[in-house]
Amino acid sequence: MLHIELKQIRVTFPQPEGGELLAVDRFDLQVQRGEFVTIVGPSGCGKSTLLSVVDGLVRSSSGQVHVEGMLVTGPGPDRALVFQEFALLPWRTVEGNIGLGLELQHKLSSRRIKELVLHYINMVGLQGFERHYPYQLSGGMRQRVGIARALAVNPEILLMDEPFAALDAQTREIMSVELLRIWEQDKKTVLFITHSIDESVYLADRVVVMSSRPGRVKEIIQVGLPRPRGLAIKDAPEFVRLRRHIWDLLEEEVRRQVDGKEDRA
Amino acid sequence: MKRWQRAWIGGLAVFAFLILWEAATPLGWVRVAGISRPTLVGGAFVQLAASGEIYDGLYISLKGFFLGFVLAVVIGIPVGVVIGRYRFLSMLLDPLLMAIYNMPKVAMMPLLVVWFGVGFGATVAVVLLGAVFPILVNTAVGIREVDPVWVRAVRSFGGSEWDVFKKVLLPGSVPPMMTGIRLGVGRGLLGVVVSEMYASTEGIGHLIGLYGMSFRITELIAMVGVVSLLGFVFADLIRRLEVWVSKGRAEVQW
Repeated sequence: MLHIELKQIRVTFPQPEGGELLAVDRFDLQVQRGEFVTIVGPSGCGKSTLLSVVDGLVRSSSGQVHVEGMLVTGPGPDRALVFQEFALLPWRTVEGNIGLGLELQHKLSSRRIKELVLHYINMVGLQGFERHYPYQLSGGMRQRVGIARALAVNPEILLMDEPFAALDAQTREIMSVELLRIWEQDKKTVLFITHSIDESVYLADRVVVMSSRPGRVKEIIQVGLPRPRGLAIKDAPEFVRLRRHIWDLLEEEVRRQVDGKEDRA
Repeated sequence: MKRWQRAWIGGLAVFAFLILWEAATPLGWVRVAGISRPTLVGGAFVQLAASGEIYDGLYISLKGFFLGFVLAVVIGIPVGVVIGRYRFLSMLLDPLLMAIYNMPKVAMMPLLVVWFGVGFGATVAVVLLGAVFPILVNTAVGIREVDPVWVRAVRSFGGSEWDVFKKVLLPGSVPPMMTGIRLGVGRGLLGVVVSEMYASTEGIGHLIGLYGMSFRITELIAMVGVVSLLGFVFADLIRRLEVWVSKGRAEVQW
């Protein structure tokens, strides 16, 4: 069943010195309910912008996003965003941060919020850290808070903007295993932005490879690897083949970008 | 290092200073009429306290100070928030505010007397004028320096502008706001003294002016000491308030 539909998305940003920057252009994508889609692309290709458009934080200059057939005009309770920089409020405890989205709905009593928060603290494995402040946590734990905060509002769609980019390599691997474990429980629709090819293949049902700026769909790759997936799957021949293929696609784009810069210089 | 240890080390310098000051006259460095002596000042202080002169003065001065200061907070914080939040307003008002901020308010004393009358009114006005700008400007800076990603987080959860204000802008800008309040206290105290010296017949400032004019150095220093002590106590109170407000984020890098 079709869940998210992006039609001919085009995003431009006005430049301080005048003129416009074309960040995303003619971007089409259809995401099915319960599908895990990763979007991978060279840096600066507009992938984060694209996610903000789906969340409703940024308006596209033209084109539309539909969620369940409804036009997106702003943020909504059916979507929740996980940030690369975690975006936790430093003066709030783990509990307080996870409850933020629920508070902002202005619907539940603080007791009910507390119960729900506790549930999600357990889900992401942060028991015992309820009263800790973000600065007392490691990067991986902070992002667990970020994920729990998004899950707590029980969205139908999880939008993840390079959520593991600020973590070290080992933590990153563990977090992607954890993410799949959590995702397997209720299979929400996920749009996951990354610049890590490994991550994009490991997590996804489909990988969208973006071109360098202006960001367009370069190719969409079906990942047929069986689930649930352990880290060992990264050695499977199919995984290696997909990784190679995506790398080739991205290399073209990165080269184009670099050459383009040299031409101008 | 523990707090009492730090206090002790700091106290050492104060003590040494008092000893030197006390010894300066018997050692023949200066004449007592010029700088008085700590023991004399202490005696004068006790006398002024016993006669009630200090309390009467303090009562008047503090009344003026608090009224002016509360007004400064009530005006400075909301205006600072709005200017910090809306770029157009800050472009519009920054130059004007900076000009008034840096204007020597004391020089406006005669005008303030004309507007608000001799005594209490002028004192409140000077305190307000002195304190409101550091509070306003620092609040605006605090709002501007709030990490935009926090605002995005609240927005992405469907938060309104009011939610952004309550959940992010206000708590996020507390540290600079407190800096503004601390600076405001200093300016406000200065305002009280100057205003009362020039345009009042009561209050600590008036007494300072009186003793200064009649060259009663010992009493003058005792009164100035009262003002210093006030400043010290206020600064300490605000530091405590700061710790209390920012509980849990004291160690966050801002």
